[in-house]
Amino acid sequence: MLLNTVVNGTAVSLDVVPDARLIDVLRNALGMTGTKEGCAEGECGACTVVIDGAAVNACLVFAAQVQGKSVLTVEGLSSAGQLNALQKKFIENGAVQCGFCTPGILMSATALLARNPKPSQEEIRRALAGNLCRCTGYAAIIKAVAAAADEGRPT
Amino acid sequence: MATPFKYVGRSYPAPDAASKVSGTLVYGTDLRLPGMLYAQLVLSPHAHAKVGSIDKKAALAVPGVVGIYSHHNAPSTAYCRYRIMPGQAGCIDDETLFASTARFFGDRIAAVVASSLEAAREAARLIEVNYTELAPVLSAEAALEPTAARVHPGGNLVHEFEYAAGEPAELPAGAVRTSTTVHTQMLHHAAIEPHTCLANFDSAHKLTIWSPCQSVYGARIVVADLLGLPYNRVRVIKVPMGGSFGGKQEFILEPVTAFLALQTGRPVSLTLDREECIRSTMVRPEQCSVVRSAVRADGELIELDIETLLAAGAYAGSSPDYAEAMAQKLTRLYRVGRYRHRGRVAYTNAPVAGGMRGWGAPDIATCMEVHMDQIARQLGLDPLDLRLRNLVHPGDIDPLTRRSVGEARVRQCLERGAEAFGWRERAAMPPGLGRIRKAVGLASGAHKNGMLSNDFPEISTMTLKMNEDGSLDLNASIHEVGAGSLVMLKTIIAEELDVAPEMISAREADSETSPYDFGCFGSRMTYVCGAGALALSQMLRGRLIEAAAELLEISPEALEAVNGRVQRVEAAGTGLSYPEIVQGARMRHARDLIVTHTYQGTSNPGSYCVQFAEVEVDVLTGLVRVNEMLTAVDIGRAINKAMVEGQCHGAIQAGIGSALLEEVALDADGRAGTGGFKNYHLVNAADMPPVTVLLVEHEGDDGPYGAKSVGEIATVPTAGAIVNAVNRVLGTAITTLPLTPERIVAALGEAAATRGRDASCC
Amino acid sequence: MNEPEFIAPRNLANLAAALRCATPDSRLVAGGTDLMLRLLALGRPDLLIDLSGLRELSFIRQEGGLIRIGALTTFAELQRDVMLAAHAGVLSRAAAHVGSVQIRNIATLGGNVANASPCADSIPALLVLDAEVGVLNRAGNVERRPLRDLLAEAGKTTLGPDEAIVDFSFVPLAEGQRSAFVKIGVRSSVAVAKLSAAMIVKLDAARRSIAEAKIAFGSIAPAAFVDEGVAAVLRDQPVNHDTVEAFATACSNMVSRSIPERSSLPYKWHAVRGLAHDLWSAIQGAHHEECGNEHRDQ
Repeated sequence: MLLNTVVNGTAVSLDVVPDARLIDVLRNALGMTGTKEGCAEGECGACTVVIDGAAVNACLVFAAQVQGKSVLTVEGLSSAGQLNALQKKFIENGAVQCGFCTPGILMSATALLARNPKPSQEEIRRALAGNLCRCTGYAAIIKAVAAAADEGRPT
Repeated sequence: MATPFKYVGRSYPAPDAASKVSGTLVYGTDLRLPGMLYAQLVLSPHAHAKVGSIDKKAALAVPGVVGIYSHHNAPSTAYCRYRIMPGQAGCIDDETLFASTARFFGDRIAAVVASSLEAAREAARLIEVNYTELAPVLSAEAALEPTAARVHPGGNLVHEFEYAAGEPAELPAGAVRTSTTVHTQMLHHAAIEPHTCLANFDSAHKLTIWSPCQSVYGARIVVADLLGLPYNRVRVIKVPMGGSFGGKQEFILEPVTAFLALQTGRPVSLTLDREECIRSTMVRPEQCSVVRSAVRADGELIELDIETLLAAGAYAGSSPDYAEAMAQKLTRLYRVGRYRHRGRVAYTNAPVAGGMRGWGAPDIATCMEVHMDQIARQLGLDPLDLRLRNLVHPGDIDPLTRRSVGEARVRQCLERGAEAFGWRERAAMPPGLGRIRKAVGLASGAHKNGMLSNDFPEISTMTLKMNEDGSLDLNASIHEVGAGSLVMLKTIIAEELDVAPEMISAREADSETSPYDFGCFGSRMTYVCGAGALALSQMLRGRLIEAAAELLEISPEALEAVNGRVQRVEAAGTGLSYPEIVQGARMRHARDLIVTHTYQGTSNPGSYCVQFAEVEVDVLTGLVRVNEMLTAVDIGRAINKAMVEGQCHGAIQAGIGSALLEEVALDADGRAGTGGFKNYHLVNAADMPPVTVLLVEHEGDDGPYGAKSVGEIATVPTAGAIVNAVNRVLGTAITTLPLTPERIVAALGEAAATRGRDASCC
Repeated sequence: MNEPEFIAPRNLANLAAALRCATPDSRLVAGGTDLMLRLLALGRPDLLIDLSGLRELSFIRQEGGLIRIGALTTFAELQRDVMLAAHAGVLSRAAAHVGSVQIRNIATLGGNVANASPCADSIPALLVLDAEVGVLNRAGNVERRPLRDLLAEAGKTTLGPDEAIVDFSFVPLAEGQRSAFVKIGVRSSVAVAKLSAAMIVKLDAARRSIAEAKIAFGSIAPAAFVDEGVAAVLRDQPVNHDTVEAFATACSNMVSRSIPERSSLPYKWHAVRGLAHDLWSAIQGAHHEECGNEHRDQ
């Protein structure tokens, strides 16, 4: 079936199998491997993307369900090779170690800050509760998100 | 505390941070090669079963399927997934590519290779395997019963050992004997990146393996020996890794992926999903230790006698060494007159056990620290004072290894940590009698720095060269696990050569091009490889000065290397820049600025950590909340401050999980891991408590700038501190981990019943 | 296996037509958070009916004295809705407890009910609200059934393969009624319930005794259920500590009655006392206005 969607601001038209998962279409058909698969069951959040402003696990969505919708992935955060404020804060605050959970966390944080530009620590924790990290213990990540929010610039 | 160095001691981002945040870093599963095939494993649905006929007809008919393999059409050569060098003691070759007898619920029965993952999975579902179920043996205790079913023909006792130090003697009057039995559970490493491997056997008959492993040379040996290839026809490339924690240390996917590549002559990619990872890769072993001690009335340890029974799972792997490693931790932590540690390792029809962060140190520290708190309760001592009475001092000799514990600053960790945490005040507060009760707990732990005294070649060969523009290339077999090893090495080189770290380029291990280092384990990266990089940089600095001296025709003693130049001592701007020296030396004196050095580690001091926890327990629901933790680490010198702290935080996340939440549990039929993360819970951002990190920096050991390890030691005392806190809150003596709500409620019930019985006895 | 047929109905007439094509091997997908996990076991469907485009089933409104909620309403939408929080706070709270932000953004009320997990968070809340379910059949007609009539066994409703839930409706909380939802899970956030309960209570005019009580429990039996026995213990009792203790004991007795053979009995029998206390604390903290002073998650 024909899928017409917008990915990172670019219109995309693809022939997909009806029950293809969004994560597979992104990673394979579109070659965008920034979205990671950690568990295939919506528990780890490594595959988080933003669909029409909402953070969603790409492993649980059929690609067909983004027909006519707008998808934002980690590849869409930087523009012309320039990292955005949130990405920079992650680097500056030690929020990245092995990096595998990082794309998903960036997307959850992006969705959070777009909806709630000045989140409390508690709100950040709860927004990221669906993103598991085994390296950082989360503290540096929360600090980075708070720092990005403080800077006041929407991501 | 400001650092006295220009580069060392500051904070740097993780390696490749920019590509990680932009999603461009290519991990194992992101690799795509032309003509690549996808593999899907068929795993045993039984804990113990004979594998009979395998009907592949329907599976082979699935479009895109290229081949299906099982023990019927694969070599039956046995190998050891833990081997990293030839003739390695402690390696038992008992695993094959595919099982003819399934020995655990996740054992490899078959593999499908197809042009798409969907086709491979569909075909795998259609394969019909005839199993004859056998009685499984699911615990080490059961395995050692004389009538137990045999996991392997040779019997279930894999390994037995005894360590002892000190002479037995009569106990003084007033000595108190205590015994504690502690049971720690199977854990899943839970790196967010699942296991993955890519292999290609090209037209030149060269096998290339891309793997997020911890030893490219080890992988090469195991695969080459298994497939009968010369070592120089097998190339293993370490790809970026999304975490390991030891779970990718042993060669689980490399042999089978390489075999499939060999058979098909095409690149083959194998990635497991989360359930397969939990079920069929490796777990931290289940073990039970009986800790018996004799102490003086004032708490001084006289005797420590430990018996450990460890379940290896279906294959021996690293379990013999792991159990022995457990036995070598406590004599570098506590002074004790007499120490004996007996261990037995048994096969079980359960997931294969293997090394996990800390390699036995967290397990035995949990046992010992719970035991110490029991002694403290018996003697009416503050747990803090009991530790102070017994912890080692710097320079103590470990009676087991006869080696010095080095600059062991564990006492400082304890004292400074206790003060920062407010231990005395908090420990004096009663937990209360309400529904929510609160208390604190502490634990100490020891680990090591390197693999010295373990029959491994404690060397690391590295090459450092300077380019025409003064930039540098480090060529070394580095295995970055996400803890910042690449950055650590660059920082050290930067410090010695006085150049910005951005001027240094370092890549990860490639067995074809990077010189020998046996791998990232045993907490040796900073202590040994870092020291190697330090020595190497000093050599290059010396060469730069010599070359400059030659070019300038003055004595080297008159020169110093500062700020990217070799100049007259304390005369800025004089002399030559590094680029000038490189070009000049080449043109005029046929010299190249390149050095190679094999560094040998000659010491292995202890690494230490003490942790304090405050917990709240809901006595109705049994739920435990960790309110806060403090960790004091004897780091020697933090090379990269932010990363050291980050490692401390992450280590505690894992430790809390091991104390309260995480368990790879076997059901009655020996099945484990089903449901992936639905049934295996990690501490998430909502539940992670605040963590205070205290770094105790004191030079003196052989690590670079006095640095010691952190990644493993930082997780050693966590579970012990939490268990001690919970038992303190409730007045219980729970010694089986994890402390689930069910276990806590059951223990509360037992405690109430005991009190009832005691009361009614009067 | 062949790839499935795919239909994405745009309105109820389309949906009814799609239902007429459905077989027992066909699957309806809303948010997909449950279905995607079951597909591995179920195998590829012959027909995939994607409900996520049915905008007309995504609504929360008051009409004819009832609150009506479209089956495609997500838990995020439920959690954020100010009117719902004011007039049926128990469902708002239950919604806030479902999974993570990512799950709540796509998981739907209809999907949660149709999946019928014994631990489903929304079902105790809907039961205690005495919700009716609007079920669309192949003829295109919507029949209303009480929710409890849909609940059969663990993981299954009584819906046929050619039926689809389109909405839920219930009477909003009346003046003086307070509601609460509590869940006990291994983690405070993103956890399957070990025990859950939804409660509606009304105090008398002087707020000294309990005039009305209704309670539904989840994660105990194969399907959530309303327990009249426990509610009766509360009715007409004074608002005091003894009453709460009696309530807790009644909950324990209910657990013993419900799951006598289960290995989780000793734990749940004890822990349900905590659930009871938490419910009562939540009820005391809840006001009729159910004002949105609880933090927004997103």
